[in-house]
Amino acid sequence: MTWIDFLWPVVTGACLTLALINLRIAFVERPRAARLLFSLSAFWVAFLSVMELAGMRADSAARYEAVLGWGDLATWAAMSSLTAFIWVFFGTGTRWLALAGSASYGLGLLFYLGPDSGLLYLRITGVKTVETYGGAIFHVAEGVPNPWGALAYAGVLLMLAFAVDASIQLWRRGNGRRAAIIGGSLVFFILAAGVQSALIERGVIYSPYLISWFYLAILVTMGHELSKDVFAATELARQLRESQERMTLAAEAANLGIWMWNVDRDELWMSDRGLALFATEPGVIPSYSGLRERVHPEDRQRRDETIQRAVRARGMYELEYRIPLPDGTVRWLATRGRCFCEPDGGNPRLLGVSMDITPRKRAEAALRENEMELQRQRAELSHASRVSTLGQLASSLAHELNQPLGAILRNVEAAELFMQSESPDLDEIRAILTDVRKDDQRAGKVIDRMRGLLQRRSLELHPLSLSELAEEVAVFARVDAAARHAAIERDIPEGLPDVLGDRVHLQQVLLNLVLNAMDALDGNSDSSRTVSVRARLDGAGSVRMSVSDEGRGIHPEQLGRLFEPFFTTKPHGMGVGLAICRTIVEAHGGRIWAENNTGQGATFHVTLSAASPENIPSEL
Amino acid sequence: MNAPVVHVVDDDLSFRAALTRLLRASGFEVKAFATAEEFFKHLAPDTHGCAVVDLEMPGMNGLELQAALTQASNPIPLVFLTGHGNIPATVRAMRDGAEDFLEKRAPRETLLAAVGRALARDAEARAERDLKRKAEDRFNILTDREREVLGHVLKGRLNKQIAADLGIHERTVKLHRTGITTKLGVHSVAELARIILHGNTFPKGQ
Repeated sequence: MTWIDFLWPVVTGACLTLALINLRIAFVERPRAARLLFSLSAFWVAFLSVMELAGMRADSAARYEAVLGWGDLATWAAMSSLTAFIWVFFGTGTRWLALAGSASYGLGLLFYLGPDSGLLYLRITGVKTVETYGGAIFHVAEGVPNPWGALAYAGVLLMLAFAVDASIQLWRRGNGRRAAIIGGSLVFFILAAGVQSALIERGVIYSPYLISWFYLAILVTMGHELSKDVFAATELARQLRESQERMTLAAEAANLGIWMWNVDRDELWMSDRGLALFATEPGVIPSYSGLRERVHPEDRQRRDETIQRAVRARGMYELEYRIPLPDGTVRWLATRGRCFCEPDGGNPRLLGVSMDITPRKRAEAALRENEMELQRQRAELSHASRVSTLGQLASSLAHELNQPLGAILRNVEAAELFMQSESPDLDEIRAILTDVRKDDQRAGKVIDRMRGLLQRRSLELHPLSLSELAEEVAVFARVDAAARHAAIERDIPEGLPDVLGDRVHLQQVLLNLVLNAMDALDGNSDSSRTVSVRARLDGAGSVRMSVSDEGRGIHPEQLGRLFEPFFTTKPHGMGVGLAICRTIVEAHGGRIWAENNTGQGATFHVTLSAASPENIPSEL
Repeated sequence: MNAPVVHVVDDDLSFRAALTRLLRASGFEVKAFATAEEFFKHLAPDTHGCAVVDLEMPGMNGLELQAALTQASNPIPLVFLTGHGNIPATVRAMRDGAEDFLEKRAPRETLLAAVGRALARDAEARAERDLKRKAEDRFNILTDREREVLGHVLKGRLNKQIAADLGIHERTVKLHRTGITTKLGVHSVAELARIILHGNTFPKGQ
């Protein structure tokens, strides 16, 4: 047992190991084909080293002959694999060189099928024992060389040429480092193996074939190169995992769902929180289309378009959309995404975060509802307050009248009952009739009293500025106007004299006219909902105030009846408004009437006396 | 027994007179008052009938009259009349037990029907009170001791137990029981229980 018997198996083992490792990696990492070829070459070199050892221990020509064929085959196979490896891995090189080289050598191998001893020797005559370092001995073949052995050398040379050419081209392409290391080592191998073999066969040197050793050298270099990618990949994977964990933590803390979508490969990754947001099964990451299914049907198209636009433009997007939940409620999500890609624009990937904004949406909806409710209440309030001032009047009127009217009714009913008897008590009936008359008079007095409330005596007359009056009334009516999308325009010239009047009563009149005008606008479109309040001089000592609307106008038949008590065109109107207005205006010594406009709508006119030094009450 | 009387309370002379006329013509006994105070002066424990009351009156108004009436010894049923609708008043009046709440100008049939119902209610309440009083009277005949024993009997205690509870002889217990059944004129505990339930009363002292 010498170091030879020890060392060659080690080489075999090393080659096998490296072959297996690269084979394993080939199935996981890219470039797959290159790694497979490299692994193949390592397998062949392992086999070659076994043949080398067998050759060195072959103690007869016959044995040596047997081994040599396999060894040569192994050499050819290994070199061809390596050539193919360069072809695939570098992607450069003049192809025909490689093909010719491999073909040449391969062709020569056919000699081993023939009666000769093979490609290198026509005939092996014997083996020679050589002693080398450490007292180790080994056998070498002796025989007649085969001139056709040149095929092998030619093949090797061609493959070498290919290797050199490919390396140079790769270097020129800019990948100098790879070219130098891998290309260089391969070139070295082919050269060294080729030269050594030639020298051994010519009998110039007596040494074992060291092809496998040379291969081992490059195996290590190559292996190191290739494994650098693996290490880099592992390191990257670790960093990526860490970074993912950090991101997930941050996202969980912020209650965000994070996700990544590789567009071309349609691969989607989503954090657990993201999955929960989309209400999918936990642990199962859906595809993009699966995710789309979870989105509310009405929002799907908008979402698709937004995302596609972002991908096309390689830009950002923001989206809000709904996810219907299994319990029937709806969850609002807000998503922000950004498209990343390679420098050349390829391999687009979408990354983003999603957030549950249902509480915010609900709050917004509640706010909107509240606002609408508020508006409605304001409108109701103004309506109610308007109705109550007039309504109070009307209701107290009704109450006062119900007494005498009730008494009349009861009396009449009693009389009917008396009349039913055989001989009615006529005295009783006479008494009833008298009472009925009295009650009727009483009722009449009630109405007179009501009217009397509005007589001149109860008015407080002061000089009033119509523009101030109009301003105050506009304030009263503002909420109503806002609720009904109506505008109140005022056109009162500055120099207009003050009128003599009772502020509260005139406010009531103007307010009533303005509100009536807004009622008239009810059916109009938003563009023609204006009430205009105008004031002008009307002859000497008089001022005319006019309130116009753009409504449907007043039916000519009704124009005359407008100011009658209890006449109304409104379904819930009491018909007292304009009657009261007329009473007030006439109590001021003025006039009130209505006209249809030449265009659209109607106008109500009120004339009042201008305040002059003569007619201002002396109490002031 | 007095005949039932409809008491009209309204400060408006004309309406009061007219309503009284109508009610009389319809066959009711009527007494009219201008104020709530006058009405209360007249009201007696044995007054039968009901009251038709105006809601709005000076001094004590209709609702105040109703409140005072519930405290009185003879809370006869009420029908309210009003000159105009007033929902909070309506609700209060009805919740506090008014028979009805009508407008002064309500149709005759409605008014008379309400009065009829009020009188019927009064008669019913009266009858019930009578029954109750009769039942109570019967128990008043018993002595204190007898009432005590009765209480225990009604609880279902055996004579032996009652004797132990009260610290007397069983013989004495039996004696008391005989006294009870004789005085009340009943023959069994079941009959006894029926009287009590019927009168919706329980002997005093229990």
